[in-house]
Amino acid sequence: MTNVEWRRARRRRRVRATSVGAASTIALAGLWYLSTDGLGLVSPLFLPSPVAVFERLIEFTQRDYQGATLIGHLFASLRIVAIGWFVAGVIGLPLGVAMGWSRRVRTVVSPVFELIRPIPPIAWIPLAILWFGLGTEARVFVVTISAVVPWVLNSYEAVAGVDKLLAKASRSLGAPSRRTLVEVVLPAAVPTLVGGARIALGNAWMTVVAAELLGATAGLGFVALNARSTLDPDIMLVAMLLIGLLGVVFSEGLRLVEKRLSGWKESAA
Amino acid sequence: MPLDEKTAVPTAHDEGTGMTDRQAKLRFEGVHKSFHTRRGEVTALSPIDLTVYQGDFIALVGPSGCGKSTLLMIAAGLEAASGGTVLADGAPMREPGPDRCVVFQRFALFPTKTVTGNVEYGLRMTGVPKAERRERVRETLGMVGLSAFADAYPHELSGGMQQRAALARSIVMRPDVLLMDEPFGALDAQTRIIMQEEIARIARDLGLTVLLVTHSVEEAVYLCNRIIVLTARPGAIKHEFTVDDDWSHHSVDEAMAQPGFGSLQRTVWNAVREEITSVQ
Ligand SMILES: Nc1ncnc2c1ncn2[C@@H]1O[C@H](COP(=O)(O)OP(=O)(O)OP(=O)(O)O)[C@@H](O)[C@H]1O
Ligand SMILES: [Mg+2]
Repeated sequence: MTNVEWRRARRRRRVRATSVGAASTIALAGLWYLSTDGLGLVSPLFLPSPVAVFERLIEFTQRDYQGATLIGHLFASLRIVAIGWFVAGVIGLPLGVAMGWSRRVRTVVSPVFELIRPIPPIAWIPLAILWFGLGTEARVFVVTISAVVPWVLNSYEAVAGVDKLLAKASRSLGAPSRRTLVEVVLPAAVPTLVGGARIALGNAWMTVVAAELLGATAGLGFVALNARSTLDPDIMLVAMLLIGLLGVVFSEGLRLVEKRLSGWKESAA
Repeated sequence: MPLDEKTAVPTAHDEGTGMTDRQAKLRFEGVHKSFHTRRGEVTALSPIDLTVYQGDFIALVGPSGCGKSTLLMIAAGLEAASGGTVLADGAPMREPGPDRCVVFQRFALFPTKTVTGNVEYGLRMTGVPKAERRERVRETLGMVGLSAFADAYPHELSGGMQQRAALARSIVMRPDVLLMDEPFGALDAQTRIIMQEEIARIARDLGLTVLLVTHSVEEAVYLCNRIIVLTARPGAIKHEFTVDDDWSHHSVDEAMAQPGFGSLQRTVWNAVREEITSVQ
């Protein structure tokens, strides 16, 4: 296949995937509509109709729910996620890179890391309360924990996965070890590093809902949790759908960055 | 051979052949290597004594697994010898360095850098000023016929062009000894012939000293003035052949048509074959 034919085929594949995805989403929404407003199969207290949810979403952009509008709650959650993700990156990225580059660091850090890795972020909540009480710090802590693992793992794999021959070539051309890392290994590792950032952000975003159990007074997770006690399933679904939607936006955004930064790669050409 | 050979002064009437200048560029003295593996100690190389002189183009041939690459990596400083010493320009060496650049079979171009970025790399790492870098890169790309691809990324190049870029990246450093590990092994037959002719020309033009690992006896006879046949593992020097005629002035097919070429090729091949069959 020539390059042009191949690209054309790839575009066709992509268009098909997008239309199938759109169709299945529409079908699901239709089913949702039919079982609620359409045929009235389930009570609106059990599952509100998509129309009600949409109306509530519009209303929520203007009117307060539990002390803030949609934007207020959104930013409350975003702030926790951003801080947690960033702190996790500041810790996890260098740690993972060091593990991938130096066998000594790997030997020291790996056992501890392997032990911590399987503990789900939510299981850190009691410790978070013990250390930080109920408050922003505790939430940031839990979110950080959830994001640090993919930061470390991907940075480690990104660096360890770079062809060892490149480092040899670099050293043979007169570059010391440190410069070889910076000039040759890290640039080649960038796509996988950004992949780690993306997974970390996804984890952080998923965990913020759980973290908002910790004495939060605002946030999308807080809204969803609160809606249950105030018997307000409309706004609960609004919050959930927004969490899902923003998760997709983050993920796709960083995927784009990933692609941009791998322009030297064959697959991304 | 006397150790003070490195101080030998090149003769004044060197007529561009580089052959009258017998300065020792690289010397292996009892260099051997064993690997510790799960199956125990594997001796890859028996003690090797070998001196590479200025202007030599030496081939290392021998059965697969006899330690050719290992010897080359030791020379590059990328692998430590288990014993013995390697003298680079008379001084014991341990570290890798641009005085002994390597051209690998798998090219090992830096994928995130353009051809220029790759070729410039060693100069940049060794602190060559920018203006001089640009000039040397331009000149070297011209030499290997890659001027039109200065801004291309490695993945945009054919195999032959990638190997030209890898070659340029090494020769731009003007190494004392150029180390090549089956540099044409990954190329198709036609490209390989072209590259053999080009490397012969470049080595002659620049007066390069080369240590070449190859599987091809034909390539060794065509390019080299000395051919070292190694024994099956653990590799030791079985025999050294001297190539009296400089075939590299001809094209590959012309050279191969000469009776002297074929007879030497057969003699060397028989020595290699003995070692290959000794294992089976
Ligand atoms: N890192 C290593 N660990 C263990 N054994 C090794 C290692 N590197 C090489 N060897 C062994 O040392 C021997 C020599 O290997 P080397 O790669 O130098 O052979 P070679 O002559 O270059 O072979 P080929 O012609 O197939 O490239 C082989 O038997 C190989 O298995
Ligand atoms: Mg080899």
